[in-house]
Amino acid sequence: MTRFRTFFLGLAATFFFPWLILIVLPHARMRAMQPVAVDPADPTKGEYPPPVPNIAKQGEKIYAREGCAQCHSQVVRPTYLGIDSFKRGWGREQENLNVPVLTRTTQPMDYYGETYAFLGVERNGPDLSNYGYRAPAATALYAHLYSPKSFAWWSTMPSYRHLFESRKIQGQPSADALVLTGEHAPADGHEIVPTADARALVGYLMTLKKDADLPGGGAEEAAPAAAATPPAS
Amino acid sequence: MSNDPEITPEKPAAGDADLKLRALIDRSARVPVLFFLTSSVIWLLVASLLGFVSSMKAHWPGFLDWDALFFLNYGRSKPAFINALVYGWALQAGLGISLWLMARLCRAEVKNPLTLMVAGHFWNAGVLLGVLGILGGYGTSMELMDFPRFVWPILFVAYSMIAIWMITMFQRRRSESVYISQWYILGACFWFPWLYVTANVFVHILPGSGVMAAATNAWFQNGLIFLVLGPIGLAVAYYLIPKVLGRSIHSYQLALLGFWGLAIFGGWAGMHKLVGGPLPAWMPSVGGAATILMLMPVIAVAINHHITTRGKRGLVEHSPTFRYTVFGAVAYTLLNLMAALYCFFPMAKLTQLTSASVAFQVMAVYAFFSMTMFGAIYFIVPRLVGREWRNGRLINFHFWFSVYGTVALVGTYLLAGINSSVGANVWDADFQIAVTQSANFLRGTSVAWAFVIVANGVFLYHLVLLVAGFGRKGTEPTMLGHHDDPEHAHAHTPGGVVPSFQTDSSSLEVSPHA
Repeated sequence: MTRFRTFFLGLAATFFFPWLILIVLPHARMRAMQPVAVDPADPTKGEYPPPVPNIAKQGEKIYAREGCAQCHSQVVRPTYLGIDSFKRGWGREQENLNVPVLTRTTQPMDYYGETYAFLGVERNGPDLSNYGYRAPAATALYAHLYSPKSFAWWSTMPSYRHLFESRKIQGQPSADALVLTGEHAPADGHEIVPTADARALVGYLMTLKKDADLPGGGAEEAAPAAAATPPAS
Repeated sequence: MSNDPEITPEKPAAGDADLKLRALIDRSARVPVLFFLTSSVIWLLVASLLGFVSSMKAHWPGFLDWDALFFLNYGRSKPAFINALVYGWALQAGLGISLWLMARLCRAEVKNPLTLMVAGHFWNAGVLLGVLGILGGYGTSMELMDFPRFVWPILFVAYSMIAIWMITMFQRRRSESVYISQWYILGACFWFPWLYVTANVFVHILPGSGVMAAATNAWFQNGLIFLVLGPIGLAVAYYLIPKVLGRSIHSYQLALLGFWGLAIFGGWAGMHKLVGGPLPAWMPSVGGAATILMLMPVIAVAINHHITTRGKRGLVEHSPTFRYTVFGAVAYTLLNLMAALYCFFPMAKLTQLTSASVAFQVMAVYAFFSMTMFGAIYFIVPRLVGREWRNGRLINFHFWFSVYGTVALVGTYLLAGINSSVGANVWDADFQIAVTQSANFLRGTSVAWAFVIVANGVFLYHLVLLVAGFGRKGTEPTMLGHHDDPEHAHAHTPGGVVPSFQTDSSSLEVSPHA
């Protein structure tokens, strides 16, 4: 019986330390992190991380439940692991795609307010960390969700038709109604409009900008990122 | 009933009393263990079908794309598949087999099977709710924790009932020694609840930092593979290999090293999956270091098994149990090598965030764990129902289709991942290259899934026949290959093996005082 007890004590001891050091303490520290002023001298520059609109929080739920994170990542890794930070069109540069603007790597506080950071599983589709910069107008984004293949023949993204409903046009047609032709075209007198879920999802996608200005200016990245962490107590 | 011809029960010379006790144990374990095994194999088939659907969706989203089937979109069918595979099949089969192993090794009958049956039903209900929940739009998109958030307490309660039951059985053991397999089973009983509760509490109940929640999830995934499925698979290997061969495990010291090495390093690994992610850099680094250090205990186990089987490896031709177990044991070593390789930056660059992660999961859950479990099922079920497997050809068929399917799955997922990673890493190109470069490999995964579905369909059919009482009567176990050949058959008669026990009477008992 004592051997049995020793055995379990051994298991408990060997597992307790990684549990404490890798899980419990980092959780406690990272929970305590709070937004800080980007420039204490200039309140107009706002806070890092910037506040997120409510629609993004609703859309995050749709993003999770539809499993978008299975194929779309939200992480910008350092250059030794990938070219996420200067992949053409993935960052802020949208005017001249041939002149990449270096996107900074993602920091813990970029995910502030999210219950779960959807870093991604597989990257079967492009990274969405900074999708907000390249997102088209909402109507185009609805159409993309409805029929991805009509935007890129090679796309393996499924159609999210179930986030839309076909309804009878009453009075004025909806401003968000999809313009569809061919096999997808709605029946006469009907229009296809996004449901509340689709609106939330699109709202979320359009706010994805995980490269907000870090406190202390963008020049030095590492030091200000550390400043966002509360001092060790 | 003396149908133990693959011989080497726990005791060297199995006396009458001993055989009676074993028969008694088997009879008492029959209902719960068969319940766990048959329901897990049904889940295996369900998971294979979902795996096929999701693999088709990965390269052809138009597959089964009717309006009413929107819930089969890749984003839902893929998590449904991997969770059904892990929770429905792997963990459930592991639990059933652990129960039987524990009863046999404690030399104690199964008391209170009702608790187990209740727990088993809870577990299945939980998994069913979880899988339907994912498909129905309540999934969480947290890998291997995709079930809707109300499911984890159900699974946890069911698991706790079984774990507590196993520990009480261990407390009233009648055998004098503690076997290596029992360390591993107790280890899995201990680690799973800790991992599972920690992960779910920090993600669902005390959410704080989204990044830490993701890191906890990575740690949990790794723990689930290396601290829960790993130990159960190794427990089976440590039991079946010496049992089928009729000799003892080569070295007690190596076994100790293997077990405690796993215990010491296992808990630190996992976050290397997020290397380069928005975490403090020391966390993935510690994970990577621990994963590489894990090779030490893994090599200890591999050497131990290798030497134990020396000179008798030819048995893979005839004994289904041995063949599957050896395949699983070799896959365990390869799995750990794969995990260690993924930790290095050049390799991580190619595999991270691609379907190479699915290759890893298939390697762990299928090539290693499932194959080992198949070996155990081929061994255990005839003892529980008192009949033998009907047909060696069906076993052979199942084996080869599983092998081709698994190897093809791991290979194609890995190559698809590497190709898409290379494609995505061309800075000035469209994402198109990443998609088109990997498409053919993803098509390959669908073909491999078809193989796996056929294999598992045959397996389920064979198992149901046996459980329903249509097994072959007789005391000779169903062998593969030339089992009709008297010369070969002779090698497997109990008499042929007994002498080795007499010279080595400690048998496979390996206990601290042995």
